[in-house]
Amino acid sequence: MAAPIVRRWFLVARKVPLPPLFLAGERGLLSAAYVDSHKWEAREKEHCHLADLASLMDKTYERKLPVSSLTISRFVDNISSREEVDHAEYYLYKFRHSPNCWYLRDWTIHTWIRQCLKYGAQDKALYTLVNKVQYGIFPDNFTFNLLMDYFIKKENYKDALTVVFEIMMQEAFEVPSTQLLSLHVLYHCLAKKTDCSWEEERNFGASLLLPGLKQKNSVGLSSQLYGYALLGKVEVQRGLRAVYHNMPLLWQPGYLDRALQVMEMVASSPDDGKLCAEALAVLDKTLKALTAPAPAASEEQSQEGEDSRGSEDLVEQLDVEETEQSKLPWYLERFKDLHSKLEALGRVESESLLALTTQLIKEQLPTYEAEDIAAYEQKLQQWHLERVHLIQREEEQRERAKQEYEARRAAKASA
Amino acid sequence: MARKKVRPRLIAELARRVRALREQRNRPRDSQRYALDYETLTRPYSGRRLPVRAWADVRRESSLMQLLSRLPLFGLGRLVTRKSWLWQHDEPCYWRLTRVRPDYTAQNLEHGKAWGVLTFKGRTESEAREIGQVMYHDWRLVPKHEEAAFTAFTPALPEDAPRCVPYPPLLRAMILAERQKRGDACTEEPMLNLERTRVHPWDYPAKQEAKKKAKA
Repeated sequence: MAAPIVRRWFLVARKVPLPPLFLAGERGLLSAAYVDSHKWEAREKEHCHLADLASLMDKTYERKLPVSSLTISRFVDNISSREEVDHAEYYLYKFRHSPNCWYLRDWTIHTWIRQCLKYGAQDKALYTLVNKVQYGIFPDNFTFNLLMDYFIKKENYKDALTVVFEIMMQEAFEVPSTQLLSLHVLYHCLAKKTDCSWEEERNFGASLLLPGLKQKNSVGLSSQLYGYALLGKVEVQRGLRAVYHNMPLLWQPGYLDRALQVMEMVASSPDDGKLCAEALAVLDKTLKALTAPAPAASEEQSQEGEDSRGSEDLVEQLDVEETEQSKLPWYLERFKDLHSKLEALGRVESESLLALTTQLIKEQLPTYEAEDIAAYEQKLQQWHLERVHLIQREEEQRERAKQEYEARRAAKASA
Repeated sequence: MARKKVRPRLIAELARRVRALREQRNRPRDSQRYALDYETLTRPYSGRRLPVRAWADVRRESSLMQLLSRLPLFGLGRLVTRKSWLWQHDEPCYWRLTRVRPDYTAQNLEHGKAWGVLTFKGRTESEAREIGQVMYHDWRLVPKHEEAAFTAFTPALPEDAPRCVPYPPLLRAMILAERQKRGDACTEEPMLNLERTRVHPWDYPAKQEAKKKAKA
């Protein structure tokens, strides 16, 4: 218990308010009110036997009829143990490969993630999230926040990073709380990592870029710069297609150019936006690494990259007069100019990105959390109404089917 | 010439209907018809190889449903473009998706149909229609943060309002005489429409309904 006390003393000494949640050993970023599952537990749910639902679904699939989204949502609602989580996973897979796959409801996905976390099946939740094509799990922002916070509490930053990459693939960085949490996770992982493969660099770049575009402060601008720098590095080393294929990124070349444009914008804008020295150092290192060992790099590239780049880039870059490779010395010069200009204007932030993000979280997260919780309560109401409507419709259909059957039987008996 | 009366062949009719029903039930799904062997670039269903010009594209790009299977709600409301349009035209050409029906028999849900509103070279159509050539490996998804920049378009030539002009006097007299002969009591002044007839470029997407009717 000494460590939290020491931390508390440090925080008090720096006159920063305490974080709201403070379990011994486990500390997440979101407050207890956010992570609290009482409202979700208190929702009205129909109690059904899982075995009945399972046999109903099996029979429906055998007869090649569509299963309704209500059945699968009832199944996921009534999970009560770890084995049932596995059964539900199987039925989610089957639902995704049935004619009604588009109709998998938001509340089913939310309930699935909550149940997984409740019964300690977080690896299962992560697996279904990563294989979203096969399971159809596309959570909303609130659920993403819950999942990330769970992993942050367990200090499992690797899994939290996977969650952030999934949010990036779905381009779900609309809500500010998600942006802040994911930036925190990203900077935490970047601080620890030394070398990454080009796929990881590309994922990091895109995940830094997308929330950075939404945040209008120095953290956002520095994230944009950092993201563009990483993507530019992958672009020069691996070709443009490696950057945008299967990623939510544009196919226009010149990511390093865009990084320099961010710097120009900050230098010329009258606002108080600053860029972190860390991000600028990364861009500097990237440019130098790509320019300096030019013969060595091009030799390696011509051996490895020939297979991957080769004729494909010839086709795409027919219209481009100069390649990125040839523009690198010019980029380096521009960077040096802009860097000195920014330092002269005093727009360079010397604190580390992780510290800045943590400060931003402490200041702004409570307000965003309150908004999110209000929105979540409204959504719970909406889901409840929808569910009632669906149950009503199902009842009506059953009545109609029964009446038709009776009518047909009466007609057959009389004939 | 007196012909013998044709007996209605009921069993043949019944057999025809049963055959049609079985054909409908066992029809090849999209996932079977458009499955592709990426090593040899042949479609296993028909055994045919893809055309030569498609080989490079098939290796690099993705088909529309391959992109949409990775998105929530199969990418409803998102913008998709084709690489061939990006290379051919400067103005923005894209489909905005309104309805997607994936083929559930596919393993990765990477086949299916989609409907949307077309914007070709900056001009948007008024109605949604089926997207053609969905199985071509030619599609790209426009990221959300780039949508505004991608769709921004100012037409080079100003759009003229449809101009109508009165006919020359002899033609006008002829039209009025024609009307009188027909007994048409219309007193409206006959106007000549000066609007340019729009000629679509060769890669303007054709209407899928018309194609299906022509095939059937």
